[in-house]
Amino acid sequence: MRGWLRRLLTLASVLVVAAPLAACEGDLPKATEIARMRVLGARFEVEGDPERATPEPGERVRVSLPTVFPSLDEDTDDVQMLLIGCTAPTRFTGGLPICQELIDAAASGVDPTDSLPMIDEKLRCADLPLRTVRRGAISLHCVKGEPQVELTVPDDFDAEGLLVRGVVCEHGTPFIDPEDPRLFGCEDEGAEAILVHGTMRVQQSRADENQNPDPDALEVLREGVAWPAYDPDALPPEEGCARRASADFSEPVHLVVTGEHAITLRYDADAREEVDGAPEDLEISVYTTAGEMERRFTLFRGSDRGTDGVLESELFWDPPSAGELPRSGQLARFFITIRDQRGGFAMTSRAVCVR
Amino acid sequence: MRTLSVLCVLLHAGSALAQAAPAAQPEQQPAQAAPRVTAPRLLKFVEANYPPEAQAQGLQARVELELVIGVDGRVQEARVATPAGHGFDEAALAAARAFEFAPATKDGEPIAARVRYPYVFEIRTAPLPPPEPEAPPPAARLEGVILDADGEQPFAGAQVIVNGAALPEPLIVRTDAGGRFVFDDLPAGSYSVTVQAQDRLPREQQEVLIAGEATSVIYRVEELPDEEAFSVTARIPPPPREVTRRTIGKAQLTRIPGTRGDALRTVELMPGVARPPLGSGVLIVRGSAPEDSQTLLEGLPVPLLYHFGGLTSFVNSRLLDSIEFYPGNFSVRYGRRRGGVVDVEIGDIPRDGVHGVVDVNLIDASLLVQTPVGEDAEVALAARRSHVDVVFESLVPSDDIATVAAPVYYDYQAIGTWRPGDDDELRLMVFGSSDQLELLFEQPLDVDPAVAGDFDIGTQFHRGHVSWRKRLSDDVDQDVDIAVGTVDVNFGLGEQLAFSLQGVDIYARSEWRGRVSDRVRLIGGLDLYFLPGEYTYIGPPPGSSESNPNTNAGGASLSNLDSIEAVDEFTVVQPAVYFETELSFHPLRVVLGSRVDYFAEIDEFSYDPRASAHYQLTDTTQLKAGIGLFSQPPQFQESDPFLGNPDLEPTRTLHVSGGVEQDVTDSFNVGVDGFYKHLYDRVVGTPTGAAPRFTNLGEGRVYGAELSMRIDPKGRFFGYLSYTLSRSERRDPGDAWVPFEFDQTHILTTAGVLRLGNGWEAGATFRLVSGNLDTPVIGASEDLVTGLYSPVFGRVNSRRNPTFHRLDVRIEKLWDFDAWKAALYLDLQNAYNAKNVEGQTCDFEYRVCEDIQGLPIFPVFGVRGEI
Repeated sequence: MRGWLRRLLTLASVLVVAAPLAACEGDLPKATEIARMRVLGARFEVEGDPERATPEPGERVRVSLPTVFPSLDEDTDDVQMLLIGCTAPTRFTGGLPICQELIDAAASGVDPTDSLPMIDEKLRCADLPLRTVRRGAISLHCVKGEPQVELTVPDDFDAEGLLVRGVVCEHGTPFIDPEDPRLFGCEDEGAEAILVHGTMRVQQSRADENQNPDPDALEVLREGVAWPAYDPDALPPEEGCARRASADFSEPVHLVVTGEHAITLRYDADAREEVDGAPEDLEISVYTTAGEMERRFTLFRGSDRGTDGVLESELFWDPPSAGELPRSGQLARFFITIRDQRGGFAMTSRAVCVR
Repeated sequence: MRTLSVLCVLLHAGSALAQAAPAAQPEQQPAQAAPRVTAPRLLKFVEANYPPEAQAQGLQARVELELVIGVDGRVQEARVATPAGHGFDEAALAAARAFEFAPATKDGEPIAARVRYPYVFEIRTAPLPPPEPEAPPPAARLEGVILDADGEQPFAGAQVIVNGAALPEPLIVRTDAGGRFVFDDLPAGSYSVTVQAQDRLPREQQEVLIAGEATSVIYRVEELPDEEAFSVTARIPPPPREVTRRTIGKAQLTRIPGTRGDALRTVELMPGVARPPLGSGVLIVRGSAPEDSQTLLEGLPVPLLYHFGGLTSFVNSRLLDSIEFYPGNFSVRYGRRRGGVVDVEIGDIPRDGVHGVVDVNLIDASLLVQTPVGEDAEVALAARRSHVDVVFESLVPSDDIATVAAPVYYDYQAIGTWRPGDDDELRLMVFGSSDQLELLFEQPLDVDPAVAGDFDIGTQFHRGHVSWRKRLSDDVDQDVDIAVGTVDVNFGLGEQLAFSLQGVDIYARSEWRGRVSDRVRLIGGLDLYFLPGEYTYIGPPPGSSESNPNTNAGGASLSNLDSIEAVDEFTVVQPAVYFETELSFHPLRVVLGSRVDYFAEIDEFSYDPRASAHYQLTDTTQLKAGIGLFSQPPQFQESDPFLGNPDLEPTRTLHVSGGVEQDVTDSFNVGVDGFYKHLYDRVVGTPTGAAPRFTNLGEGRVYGAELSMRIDPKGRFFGYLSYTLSRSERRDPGDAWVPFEFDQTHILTTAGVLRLGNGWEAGATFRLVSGNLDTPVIGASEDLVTGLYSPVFGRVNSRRNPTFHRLDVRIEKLWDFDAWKAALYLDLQNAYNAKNVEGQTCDFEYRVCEDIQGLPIFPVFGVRGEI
């Protein structure tokens, strides 16, 4: 026991030392900075009930991966994704989760213990003629463009979760290689790869049901002024942002000079789901394409009742300095994710012009 | 001018005497016990030839000779101990070889003797007047000054004893305030002069006094090593039963640079001990995992060794007598561990009055008081408290972190010793330790949304330990130790990680040691560890202590791991019996031992046979070897019915080692050891933690060699040099051998402390160690549900940090007032601010990593007062 204690206390000691340094910033890229293609999460939407994140056995579910870029010049046109799905392990102790049973194998009646070794060679999406290809008991989901797939939970699926694993590639072709310790990757020079995995909770009873958070329940204020959602389709990229901001889009895009800005997050406390008789926890993150956010996570705990039914938290955004900006200014976009820490996910965005 | 040889004589002594203040006169009292050994007495003096060139240049000299006088009074050997050059050495040797002595005697019988003989060459400015033939033989005079070698200050009150064949009994005087003494009217001849001064090493000198002349001398006395200042019992360590025993004596414990005066830290400098990672304070012995080694206080394990995992040990270092370190092949007296053992011994409490030490430095303050109580009892009290909390809040970013309870630690020790009779000694020790810290993270840290809310750590233990040493007969001793105490540990981090444990731990040991004959000694003992308690655990399923990070939560965020909750009561019962036989057939000594342990939590017995042998090749050379099995129960989480697998077996290690030790001088020792260890039944986790969660299918091996050099603190200097070359590897089922995470191929450590004089002392410790191992991250996968990345690790422990090197320096100035002492010290860690790498930290998606720098230059100032 003492060894275990010693290790635990060693960890604690490291935390004691690290605590005063918690606010120290190194040179490492910050998680809230969108400096390259990022996948900010996964939204599970049950067919016919898109607010529900927990499919029942036999239901079809859309798994979409909200993918963002630092520039409006980039989009998902040059993105490909490869995903496989399987039964999630019942006990996850670290590393990457290992498929316990391929769902398509279960659906096809193949012995699940034999299914994993059937990926015995490197497979590329470029070599596969179809969007979804069965190879033995395995189906590989290759997608071009918006990274989203639709999966069907087998009727006899009796596990708690459905695991998806795969890769999202920009400028490259996804592959799966059993010899590669990462299992997935992207071919082609200059390709950017984001390995992804996630467990979608499968609703075996009504008590397991989970709704995606409601992005409309979130109100965002910048410097105390309401900050409406930003629709990139309504603001096509052009040079800079000042002209359009001041002319056609003065409402959604604000002008900023410099200086630290307060961003206020307000969430309707009553919009939270109940979990075991108490409101759920909500975790909100604000990512930006320019400048620096004060912190990554804002947590509204279930025990928070808020003021007048509103949960509120403030964080600060430090815009780029004037010397870092083009003369015509720069459009800074903000992606705000809302997680209920049980698989529910929503995302909204804001924008501001900095010059 | 003509040559004149004299023995420590300055011929103008007469005028010097005239100017000197009156010196103390002989008390004409006999010494308490007249010595039975007499020194050689010079009968025939031969004048040396003054080297012509030296004489022409007007040079004078003093040549210190070492002579061996045979039983016939003739000089058998002569060598120059302190040369003077210019031809003086050769001239002195030639003359001395022609000396004739009355031989030394022991109980009246002539014996050979080795003496120091200072041969002084001095150019006589005026010839001595010829002696009056009619006058009676004039008396000789011995006068001099006693100086403190540390500061060249006169030493008042020193006792000077003169003894010689011409005296019916020894004469004794005490030095005056100026450190002066005088013996008048001594018959000419050879004398032994002994100087005894408080807290100083006794000094003995041979002097030859010439009729009609005054011999003026200066003697310098050196301070006793520190252990004498607080100890009243000289301990002679028994011959080691272990193949390798490394002892750190009291004189070294608090003086090693880089330890901040913490005695237990000195173990980290011993051969075979790897450098612990920054801030961990773990003990890594000969490639074993930290949990495989154990530290004991007076023979019984202690719950926690260091405050906050590695800051300062829980016991006042000035209470300690010595630290015995057994890196392997240790006696069956020690069990339940398969690595190494550190046995810390409390020293005797001084019986000569009240002693106390107050120490205040930048981190903590401590107080120690020791005093006799009557004739047969002594008491010591010590306490320490940190004051890091004073500055902690100013270091913590208050916007994000609220300090609920700043880090505070304290410890205390109360020791009482009572000797109810000549054959019994009872000792009661009450000691304890407490660490406490509580922080409140208003919002989660960027690394993990689970790292939010209340972070608290608290460890407390309190223990009473009674030991009874009894001499049952001339040949049989019995030791009984019973310790009872409470342990309370809690650790929490938000709602997703919490651990608390409360228990009452009880240790009992009874040991009998007997001498069957001159050649056979026996040791038998019973040993019990009993811990009833309860625990609560919330967090990810615990992994095994040594495992592949790809299957053992390596680097994973709390949010990405499943969480379990366990609340349970438990009882640890681990009785043992051991028996050891020591057979001495000079020059060979063999120790055979057996130990049987029972581990109730897994319902398993273990049997550990062990053997060691020592062969005294010469008076100064010893060969040694050992082989044995060492068993250890699985870790708590590995065998707990809820968290682990209660069907595990004990883990076992085979130790094989051998070596040679060479005493180069009385205080300089060199040793070389080689070792091999094979780890059987090592506990490993199953992939993904699937049932049965843990198995005994792992194995390991460690092999290496150690070189040690040691200069004991018998003079102004002591030091160590150690070098270890080793390899420690592990193999999980189906995998290849990989280096163990704490494998350090090269470990070079050297430390030295020099007393400079005038109260100054300086020391340095230098370490040159292979960098720690790391498993590189070759990729990462984003958890779409949490948005956090989980690393994908490459080959286990295949990346090594750059070589570690560090110099620590300690400087101390001691002011010695009559009634008390004061010291100011600086312990400067990483004196040249080496940029050592302790590991790597990566960005949120493990694309960009940077080195974690180790401790920068870190000075700790402190002040100490002693009475």
